[in-house]
Amino acid sequence: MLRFIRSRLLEAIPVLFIIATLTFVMIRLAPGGPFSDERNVSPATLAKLEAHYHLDQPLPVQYLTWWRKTLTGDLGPSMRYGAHSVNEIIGHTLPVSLELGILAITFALVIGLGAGIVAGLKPNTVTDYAPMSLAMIGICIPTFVIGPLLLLLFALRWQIFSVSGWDTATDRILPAVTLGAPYGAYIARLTRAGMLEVLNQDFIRTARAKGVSEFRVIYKHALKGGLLPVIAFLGPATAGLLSGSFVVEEIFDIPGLGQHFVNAAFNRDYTMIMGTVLLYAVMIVVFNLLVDIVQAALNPRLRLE
Amino acid sequence: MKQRFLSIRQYLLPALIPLLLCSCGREPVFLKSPAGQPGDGVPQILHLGNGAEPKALDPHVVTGVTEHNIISALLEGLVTENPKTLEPQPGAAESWTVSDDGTVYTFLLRSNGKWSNGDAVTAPDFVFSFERMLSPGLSAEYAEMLFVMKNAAAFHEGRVTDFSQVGVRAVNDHTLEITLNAGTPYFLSMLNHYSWYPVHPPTILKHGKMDERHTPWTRPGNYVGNGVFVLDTWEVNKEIVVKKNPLHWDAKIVRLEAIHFRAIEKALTEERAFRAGDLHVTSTVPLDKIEKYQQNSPELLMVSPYIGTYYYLFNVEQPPLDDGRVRKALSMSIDRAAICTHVLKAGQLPAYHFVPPDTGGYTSQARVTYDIAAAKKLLAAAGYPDGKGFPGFELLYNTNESHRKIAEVIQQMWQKNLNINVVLKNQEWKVYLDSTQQGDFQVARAGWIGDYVDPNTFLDLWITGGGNNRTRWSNGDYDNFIASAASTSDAAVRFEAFQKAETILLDELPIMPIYLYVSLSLIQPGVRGWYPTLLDHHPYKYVYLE
Amino acid sequence: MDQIDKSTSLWSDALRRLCRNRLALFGAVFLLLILLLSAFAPWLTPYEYFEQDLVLGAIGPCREHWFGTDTLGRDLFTRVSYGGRISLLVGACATSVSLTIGVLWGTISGYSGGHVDRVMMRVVDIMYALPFTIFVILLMVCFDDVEVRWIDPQLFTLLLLFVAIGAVEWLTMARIVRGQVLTLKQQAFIEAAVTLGLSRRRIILRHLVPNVLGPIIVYTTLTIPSVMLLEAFLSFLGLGVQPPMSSWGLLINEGADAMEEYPWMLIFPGLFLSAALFSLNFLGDGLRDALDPKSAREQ
Repeated sequence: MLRFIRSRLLEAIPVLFIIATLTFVMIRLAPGGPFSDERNVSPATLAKLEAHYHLDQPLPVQYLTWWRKTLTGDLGPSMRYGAHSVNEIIGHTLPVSLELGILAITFALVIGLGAGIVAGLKPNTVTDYAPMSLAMIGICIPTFVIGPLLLLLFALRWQIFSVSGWDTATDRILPAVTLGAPYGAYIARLTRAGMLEVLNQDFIRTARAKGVSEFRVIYKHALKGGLLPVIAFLGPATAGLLSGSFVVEEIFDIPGLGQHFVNAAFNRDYTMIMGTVLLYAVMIVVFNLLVDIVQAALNPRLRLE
Repeated sequence: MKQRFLSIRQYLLPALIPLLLCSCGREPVFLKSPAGQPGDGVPQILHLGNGAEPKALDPHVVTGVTEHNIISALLEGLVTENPKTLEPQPGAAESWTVSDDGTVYTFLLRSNGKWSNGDAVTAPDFVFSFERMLSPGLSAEYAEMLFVMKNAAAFHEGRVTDFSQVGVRAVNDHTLEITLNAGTPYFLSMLNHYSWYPVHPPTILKHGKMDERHTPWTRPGNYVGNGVFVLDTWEVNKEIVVKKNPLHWDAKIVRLEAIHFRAIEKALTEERAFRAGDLHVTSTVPLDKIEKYQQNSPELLMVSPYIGTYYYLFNVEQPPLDDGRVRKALSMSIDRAAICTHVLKAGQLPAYHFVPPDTGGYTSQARVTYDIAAAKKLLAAAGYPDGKGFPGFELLYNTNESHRKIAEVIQQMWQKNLNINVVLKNQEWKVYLDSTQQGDFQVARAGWIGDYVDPNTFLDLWITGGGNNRTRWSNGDYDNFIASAASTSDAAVRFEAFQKAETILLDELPIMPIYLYVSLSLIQPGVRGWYPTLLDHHPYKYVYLE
Repeated sequence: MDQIDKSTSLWSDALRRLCRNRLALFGAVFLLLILLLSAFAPWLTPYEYFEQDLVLGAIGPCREHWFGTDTLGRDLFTRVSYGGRISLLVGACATSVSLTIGVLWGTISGYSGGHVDRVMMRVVDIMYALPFTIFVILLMVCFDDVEVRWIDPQLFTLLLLFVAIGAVEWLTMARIVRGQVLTLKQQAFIEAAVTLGLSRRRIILRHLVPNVLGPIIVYTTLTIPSVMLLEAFLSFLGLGVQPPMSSWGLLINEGADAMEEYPWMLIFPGLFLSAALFSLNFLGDGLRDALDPKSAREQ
């Protein structure tokens, strides 16, 4: 096990290296720079600005400098929000996104697994249709519709929650529900499918025939195999949720990191793009590794290679 | 069978319910004042929606409106503005005199002017600030604003290295003399632009070199200003809080205790926050909401003319747009009034000339017209009778709801009135900027907001080789008129030159004016001292809550 | 052992079973209706999708305009019908692209194991992390000035759209499939197939893929809505349909902004999207049941 983790972490090094390199090349190829605006700055000023951020150096030098600074933990100054460094912005916004992401994923798991198991146990009955049609609604109605809808009802009409901001504990509820709902729906549908797959298999029938209690059947046997697709889905989904959601942050006015993923690209904020992409890459590697470990733990026949 | 069908209904009904719920939102806007009941007990804390997260709070490196809104609370220029008319009135300078030829301004700074750390605001502080703004090392995007000063451009470009040759001089601690290249009637109103604001020299030097960008001097705790407010907290992507500056010379008339500038980028989110009573004033109003507010609660909607024009650029090097007749036909066949009334709806005015009417007292006599018959004739004369054989072109705009709608409407107008086909093309903002700058477009949407209240800020855009002239259009006479206007301070002569220049512009039409901007905001009834102004400036000194 | 024999008649069996599933049949018929509506839109409505009536503006559903009109006075029924063309096309094509790549990638990776598996999965990790927005912008810019003669430019942008969406949507599919294959690989019937000396290709296509169909079908039906909504985001970046043409994703986006003022602008495209997805889902569930080798054995 430890050897597996160690070798995977070693593999992560070339992965992160390739991601950073490709991203570096891609953002420099994209048209427009961090300082282009409706009003042109004079060529002389532009040259000075670029020199200030060392954009006048040859690309390989810039690239190596970036790595050298990044390895010492300095992601450089943001080219858009000059007053703050990328480290500072991530430091301010990541905790918010982590908190929201954890709440959302918890909500999604509770709702999704619950609905999926209930539905999977008795397929083609009311207890299947009801949760599954709810799940379908969760998938059909995009976040940018659910979010404002919840706000209109719960914040503006009934005034249970505040309409924007991230100050009190109750401010977390609507965003977490909005963010988690579609993921919950995905999990529900995947759980149901996985359950159906497993419940038909011989070993479950054997277990049932042996008189093993239904709870044990579900908990000990069915879930193990049935959850595989859900777990595979959860790896990238968790990385995505924890790094913030642009749409949800925008709707609920949350000072999270998600907006920076999108805006950094739009602003051609080179350092910010590199910083956020690297962060996300680390999350992807870590969560996909966790997924592989959990999958192996659930299925002893699966060797970790 | 029957059971099966029931289960289908079970599937579909829940799908309908949330969608049908949407229609519940059509009730009159209700308000919950964040300040509680009106009266003397109202906490004087103003909550403003302020759009995007500001890029910085250093007046010499920022470029945007968002930043202006905050910086104008933290710093004060030589003059300030009348809250209703924006007329220059005494600020850091108590009074000033102008030489007869209009080129030398002598400002007398007030003796009780103080920085927020207690230091006196002095004339050398302003000299330091102007030098910083112009220093080549700082590479300030707005350095050009100061080029009206003698030798300022030369110093910025490095042709003059001795700053004492630039037209600004501290005669003594409280007397500042500014020498201009030529009489500039709009000079005083320019002084309200943040590029002319002073910064506190010891603070700047404590945190870095004079011409160093983005040192930590703008952080809460470090920021030393001479404005009506001082920086209290700065939470990234959330809000910036400024508190009343008790040391300000005019502090006794300031009634607000604090202002919260909320960073809310999405207009719909901002509008909801306003409706919930979390904001006193918003930075904009969502396009689709305007009509409802006009009908249900017009008192909450503040619409004021804004010094800006929305227009389309023609790339005059690309056929068929290299033909002036084609450009004219295109301009003549769009119904600007219909766009304003039915698409924009907020009281925007159709733009029949490029400079907004009554800009510093100037209104263009030349006008573009709406005349389909004449447009058809022009198009036929250009070789495309009834649109036959017209090669078509791409209409480029940056992705945005209202740009898209206007483009769709104009596309239809050209189709219907001239029988020509136009393809719409949207690009993400920076790609769009790149395309227009490279001249890689045929027709493109654009807008221009004046930096100060004078026709020059609009008309000098289109001089040959102008940094923002993306049309590639060039006209010697036009250049001459703009140059001659710049070299005189006689208002009548200047305006005459501008009239001639704009006549040429509207005859050749490298650009097609469409509508005049308005600034839009929602404002709670309890906000006092907040007036609609041409530049959307609202000096906070006079604002209070009731 | 009978698994191997069964697989030959798997598809015809499945079709028979599918037709017996009323819900699935209902889904199929309804989907067909939506398809027909989109295909024959020009004959069903007296309006053009770009035809404006500025004075009319946005009005609710009425006799002349069944679904109401949008803010430029365009008939929403017409726009929704035309929008279906784009959305269904994008949904079908982009999903097939991501389905094919994802399933093949995941199966090969999982079945091969070892170094091949490692490399293939690390490629997936890399693809996940690359900034999608920049990728799309580059894709668009690179092909912006390319003169395409062999295909209509509008279709060409759609093709680019499929590439862009296909490039991101197959990743999770690949990981799910790989996870399933890893468990299946050790089961008796696969080992039996290997012992029988069947070719890798045959084992993968005939034995592995059919047995992971359940999760594949479910995840596919989940991919379609996200693909349709992603298309709206790509249009925002300038890749995809250009106005005045529209799609359900774009109409819903537009409607969401106006949900309080002009709810019909959200409800109708939303209903169509939901209806199509529900139908697809019934069909998907039916397919899953029909193709399940285990349930086949029961009958």
